[in-house]
Amino acid sequence: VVYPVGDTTAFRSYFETGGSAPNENYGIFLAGQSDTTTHVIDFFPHDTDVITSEGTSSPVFFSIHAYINPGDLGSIIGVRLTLHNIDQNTLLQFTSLSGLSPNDIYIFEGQATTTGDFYYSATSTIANGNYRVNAVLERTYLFGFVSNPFSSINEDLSHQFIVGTSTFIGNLSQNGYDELQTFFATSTATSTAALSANCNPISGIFDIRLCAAFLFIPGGPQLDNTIHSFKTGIAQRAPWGYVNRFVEILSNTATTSLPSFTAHIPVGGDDPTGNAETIHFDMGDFMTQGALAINSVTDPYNGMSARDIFEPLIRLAIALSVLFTIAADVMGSHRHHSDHAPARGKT
Amino acid sequence: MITNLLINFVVLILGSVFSLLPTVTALPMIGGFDIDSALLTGVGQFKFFITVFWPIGDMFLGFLFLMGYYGLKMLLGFILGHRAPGVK
Repeated sequence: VVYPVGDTTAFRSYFETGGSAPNENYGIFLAGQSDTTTHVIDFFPHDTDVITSEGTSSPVFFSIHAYINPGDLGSIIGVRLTLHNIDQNTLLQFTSLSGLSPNDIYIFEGQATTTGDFYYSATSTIANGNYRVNAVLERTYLFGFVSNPFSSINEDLSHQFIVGTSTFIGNLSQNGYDELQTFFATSTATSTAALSANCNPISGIFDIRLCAAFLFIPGGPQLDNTIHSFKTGIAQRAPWGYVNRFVEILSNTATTSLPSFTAHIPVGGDDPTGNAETIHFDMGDFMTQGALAINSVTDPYNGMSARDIFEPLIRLAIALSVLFTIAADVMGSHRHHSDHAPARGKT
Repeated sequence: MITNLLINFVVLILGSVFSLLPTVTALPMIGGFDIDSALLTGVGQFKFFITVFWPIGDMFLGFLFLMGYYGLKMLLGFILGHRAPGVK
């Protein structure tokens, strides 16, 4: 599927009236993508995009493309695309001076009610500056007012982009990680020795930023090795190694089939050499097939199975009971008065 | 490199200190009973069970979340002693 990246006006005109496709940047994605989990596939503007200024403000194309797995539509999937101006001090939003700082602008806030690909796009004119756009996917209940903290569908991604020219404060707000990534990206060194030449003043490729990054930022593969060494050399040692092993077993994602057994029932008397009927009991199969049978029954109006209908309610009930238990504990509302009474003889 | 060196150094020192201790690859056998295999099978079967009876999985997650809260509270109590919030 091909879709326009920039201003959609010319593309829409071409789409409606025909003719030749306008000169435009186009995005492309494969409709038969292998990742079928519920996730954000792409959203615009992209990270580090610079939108050419058209005066003090410019039209910016916003879009979100997500994939909603059919198995996840048992409850509502909330989709949100928000824009935030990072030139402003975000702390001001929580003070009485909030008028000085713009709040988040909701480009889109709604729900995905069908499975498969979800699209939204719009073009808005915004003032020059540095911005962050957030794409959020979450499982929501009660018309989108409540989200489930236990759900595996909790995706929150952000891109930072610039309209016109960047500002000093906006640049300060940019993620430091991106800056460091840029430092590394400018280096063509493929070995430690070559990278260390950035610290040599007479090497001809001296660069204080690359040198500092080389010296102080731990390299990913080396850090992996160190973590692996820590695990094998320290975490697996007795006696705490038993705790480590216990956690390993609990975090193992593999399932084990339930035991099954076969019963031989003699037919026609007690003669052991006679005919026998064999009954095979497979509990795992009973459960799986039973669940399939129950889930195959759907309500005639929405096509939802019992699980689709009850899962969000049960999850909400569990989330609320956990929340109330913690709240009751924090506030001490279930403590008896005798717990607060002074000890005898110490009045 | 400097950060890597420092982390490696700490791991190296701790690793050499603890190298005398035996490495644990499985839980011990007690009275001929293999706890490691039993636990592996039991947890595996429980995970199969919750793929079918899905509310159990959600309840288990809620339980873990609650235990995390109590664990954090205990840790705070251990570190801060009587200064921990809620302790008289």
